[in-house]
Amino acid sequence: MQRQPVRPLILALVVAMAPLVFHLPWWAVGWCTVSWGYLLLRERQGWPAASRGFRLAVFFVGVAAVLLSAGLRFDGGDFIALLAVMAGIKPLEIRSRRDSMVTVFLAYFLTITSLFVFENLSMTLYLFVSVWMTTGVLIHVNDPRGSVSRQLRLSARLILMAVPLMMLLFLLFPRLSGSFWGSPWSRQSRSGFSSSMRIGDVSRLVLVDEPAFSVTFESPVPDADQLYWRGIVFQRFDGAGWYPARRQTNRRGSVGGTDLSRYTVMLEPHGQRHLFVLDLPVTADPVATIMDDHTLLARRSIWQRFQYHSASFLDYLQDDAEVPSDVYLQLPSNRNPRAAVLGNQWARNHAAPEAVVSAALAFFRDNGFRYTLRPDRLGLNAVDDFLFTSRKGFCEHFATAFTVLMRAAGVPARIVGGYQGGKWNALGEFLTVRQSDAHVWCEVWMAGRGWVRVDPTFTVAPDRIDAGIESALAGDGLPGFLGRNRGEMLARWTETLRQTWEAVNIRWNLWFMGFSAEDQIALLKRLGVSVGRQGGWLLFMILPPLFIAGVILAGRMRRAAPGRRPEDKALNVYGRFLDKMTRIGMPKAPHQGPLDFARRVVEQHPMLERDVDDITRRYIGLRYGHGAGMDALKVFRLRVQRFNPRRTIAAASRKSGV
Amino acid sequence: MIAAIARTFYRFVGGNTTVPVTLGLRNIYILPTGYGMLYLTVVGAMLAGSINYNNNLGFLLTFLLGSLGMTAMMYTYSMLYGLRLESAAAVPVFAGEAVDVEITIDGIDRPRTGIRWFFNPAEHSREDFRSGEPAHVRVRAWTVHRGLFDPGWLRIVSDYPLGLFQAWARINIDLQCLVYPRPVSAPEPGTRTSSAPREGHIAQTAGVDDFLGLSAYQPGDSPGRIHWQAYSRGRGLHTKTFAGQAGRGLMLDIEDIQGDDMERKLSILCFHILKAHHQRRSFGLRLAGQLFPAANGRVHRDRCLRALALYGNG
Repeated sequence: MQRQPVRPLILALVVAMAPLVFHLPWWAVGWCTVSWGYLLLRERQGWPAASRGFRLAVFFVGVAAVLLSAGLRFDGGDFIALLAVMAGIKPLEIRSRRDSMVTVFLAYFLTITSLFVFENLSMTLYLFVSVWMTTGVLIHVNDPRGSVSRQLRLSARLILMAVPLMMLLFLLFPRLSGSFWGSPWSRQSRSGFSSSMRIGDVSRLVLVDEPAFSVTFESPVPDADQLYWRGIVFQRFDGAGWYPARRQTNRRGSVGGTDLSRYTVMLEPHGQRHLFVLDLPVTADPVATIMDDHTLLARRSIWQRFQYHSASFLDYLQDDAEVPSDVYLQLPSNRNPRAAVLGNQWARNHAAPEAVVSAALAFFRDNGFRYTLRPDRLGLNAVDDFLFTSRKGFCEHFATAFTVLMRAAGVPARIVGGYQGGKWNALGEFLTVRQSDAHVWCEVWMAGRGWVRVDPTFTVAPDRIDAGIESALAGDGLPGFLGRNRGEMLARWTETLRQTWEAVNIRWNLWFMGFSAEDQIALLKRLGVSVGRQGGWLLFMILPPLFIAGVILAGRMRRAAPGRRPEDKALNVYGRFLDKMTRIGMPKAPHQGPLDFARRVVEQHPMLERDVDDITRRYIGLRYGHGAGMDALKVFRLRVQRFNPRRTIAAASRKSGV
Repeated sequence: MIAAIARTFYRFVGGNTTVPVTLGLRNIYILPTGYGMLYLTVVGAMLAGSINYNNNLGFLLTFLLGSLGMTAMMYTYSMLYGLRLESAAAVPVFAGEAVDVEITIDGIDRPRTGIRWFFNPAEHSREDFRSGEPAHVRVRAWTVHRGLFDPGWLRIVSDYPLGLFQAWARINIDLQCLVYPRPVSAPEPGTRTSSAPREGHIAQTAGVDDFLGLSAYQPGDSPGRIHWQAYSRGRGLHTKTFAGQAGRGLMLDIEDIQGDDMERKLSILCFHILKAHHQRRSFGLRLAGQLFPAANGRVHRDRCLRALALYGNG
C-alpha cells in the first residue's frame, strides 16, 4: 500500500479549522494539537501506527467529551466541536487512499462550518484560501509523487475556472425562503438587548464594541438628535429591573407626519425577535409585525444577519389618544418612598403633565447629577439612592428614576430600549450603530398628544445625543474606553482603517449576504426572464451542460486560434527582440531576413555579436527547425528577456574607451 | 450483468477504437468514481445546510465545490482528449513471460499527468508526459501460451487531478504478438549433420571459437560478432567469422524427440535452437511439412522460433 501524505492532509485540516480556533472549546483545540503534533512526530521518527483498539477508545472519549459539554441542547457549536474531534483523530488512521480522501472531504466540511459561524467579508476571502489549499492537497493525494507547488498552482487554476459557474449558480440557483428543520445554527448568547433590563445592563452592554446593525438611508439622513432606534418597550418595574408587557397586541391606530425617512437595516444576529426602527415606524417589511407600543417583532428570533426595509415619521403624530391602562402607573409597593413623595408633591403643585415633566427635568439639571459609566452601588431602594444620595448614573438610571417619578406623579410613563445615534461612514454612506450606542429613554403619555419621548439623559449630558457617547464620557477617565483612546494619531489612523473596512464589509453584506429568493426573482425579471419556481429549476438544469459546452468551445477556439504553436510564439518573442533593436536605432527593414539583419547589426555593433547571433540561431531553430519543444521556447524567451543591447554597448565602450 | 450492459453499450456507441486513433468525444468515456459519489454527497449535504440556514456564504462554498467538481471532470477528460496513438509494436517473447507493448503517442500539446495504461488492471504503467515531443509508453501483458497473443483491449485511464471522475478509453491496438514456446531443457535429440555444406568438413576439427577472418557485414549478422574495432576506425562494418560455424550443422527434427506432448516437444526444440544460437553453431529445423536448412544468425533463429510459435495453427 502506498504511503499516504499525512503532513499535507494535516495542513489542509489546520487551514480549514483555523478560523474556528477561538470558537471551539479549548479542550477540542488541545485535542487536535496533541493528535496532530503526535502524528507529525511519528512521521519524522517512524513510530508504528496506533492500534485499532486504541483508536476506537480515543474516538469514544472524544465523542463522549462533546456530548458531555453539549448537554441536552446540541446546536451548531457542538456540531463543530464534534467535527473538530473527528478531524483530530481521523489522521491517526490514515493508511489507504480512501482514508486520505475522506480526510480531505472532512476538511471541506470544516470549511463550511466556519462559514456558518462567521458571515463576513474576511471569511468569504478565507473560503477561497481554504478551498485552494484543500484542493491542492486533494490533488496531492491522487498524485503523491508530483510536486506540491505545481499542484497548488493547478488547484488555483481549477478554482479560477470554476468561479464563473459558481457565480452563475449563486445568482440563478433556485432559492427557497424557508428552511427544512428550522433550528438555528447556534444559540450562543449574543450581546444586545434581551427581553428584560436590569439596572446596570445597559452600562455593561455599552462596553461591547460590536456593531449592532447598520443602516442605509433612501431618504436624507436624519439629524443626530432624531436617531432614536426603538427596539423594545418596558412596561413593568419590580424595583430592580424592567420587563415588557405580558401580552402585546398589534397596532390598531396609525401614525401620521410629514418627515418620512426610508431606510434599510442590516441587523446582526441577537437571538431576539425585536427589530430596531426609528421613532415611529409606519411600515415594515412583511417579515415583522408592528406592535401596539410601536415596536417591531419579527416572526422568528434573529439568529442570522437579517436585512429589512422600514419607514418612519420622524415628526410623528399619533392619531388617537386613548388613555393608557393603569399598568403605566404601577410601581412596586414599599420601594423608593422618597421618590414617591417627590412625585406626589409635583402632582399637587402642577396640574398639567407637561409641567410635571419640566419639573423633573429641572430636578435632574439643578442637582448636580453626573452621567457616568461607573455609578455607585445602589441599595434595595435603588431609585431613592440614585436620586438623593449618589446622583451618578448611566442612561438607565436616569430613565428609571424619571419613569418612577412620573408614575408617582400620576403621569403614565414607560421606558424604551434601543440605540441612540450611530457613526456615519462617509465612505460607504451608511450608519453603523454599535452596542456602545445602546440607550434607554422614556415616554410619557399626554392627553391629546399620545406617547411623547422624553430623554432625561439629554438634560444631564446633552453631548451624549449630539456628539455620541464617547465625548459624553470623555471625562470618565476609563482607561482605553472602547479601545479608541490610545494616541491621537494612531486612533485617527485606525479609525479610518476601520471605517474603510466596515464600508467594504457592509457593501458586501448588503449585496452578497442579503441576496435572497426575492432578489433572485427581481434579477431574473431584470434580465427579461420571468420564471416561476419550476422555471428556476429548469434554468439550473441547463447550467452545467452549458458550462461543459462552453469549456469545449473555448478549447476548440484556443486550438484554432493562431499563436498557440511554439513556432508562432517564437515569432512573438522575436518581435520583442526587434523592438529592443529598434530602440537602439537598428530597425529591421522588411526585406531583411533574420540572418541578414544579424549580420548588419554585428557590423554596426560588434559587441552585440554573441547575443544577436545566439538569439538569431535559436529563433531560426524554433521557427524553421523541426520538433521544437516548449522548453526550447522557454529558453529562447528568457534569452530575449535578458538581452539588453544598450547596457551591453555601454559596458563594452567603457571597457575599451576609458 | 454489469459486463453485459457494458458490452451492449460499447457496441452501441461505436467510434473508432483501432490504432491509429485519436482520443476524442467518440471514444472517451467518463464516470464519477466512488469518491466522486462521496464528494457529491458531501456537496449535497452542504447544499441542504445552506438552504436550511439560508446562508449565502454556505451557498457560495457549495457552488464553488460543485463547479470545482465539474471543472475537475473537464480536466480529467482533457487528460485523454486529443491524445493520438500512432502505432503499437512488441518484441516476441517466450510463453509465460511478459510482453511489453510499446505504443507511440503523439498529440501531447500540453502536459498530461497521471494516465494509466493497461491491458489488465493489475499491471498498469503510469506515465506523465511533458508537452512537446512524441512519446512512447510500454504496457505490459502476461502471456501464457505460445502462438499469436492478443493482449486484448488497451485501457487508457485517468482520474487526475481530483480522483472524483474516471475517464477511460478502450482501444484495440490491432497487434498480435508472437509468443515462442517456453524453452525446456532436455538432452540433445539424435543429431545428424546436415548434408548441404559438405565442404565445411575441412574446418570441422577446429574449435568453434577459432577466428577465421572478417567478411563484409550482412543484415542479420549477430551484433556480437561485428568487428567494432574496425568500425570505430572507420573501415565500415565487418563481421568476424569463426571456424566451425559454417561447418558443423545441427539438424533439429521434431520427429526425433520422444513423447506425445507436442507443446513439450516444441519447447525442447526451442531450447536447442537458443542453445545453438548462443554457441554460434549453425542449425537447421525440420517440422512436419517445414524445413529450415542449417544456417546461423539472428534472422535464421527468429524464423525458426516463429515457425515453432505458429506450429499447428497455421
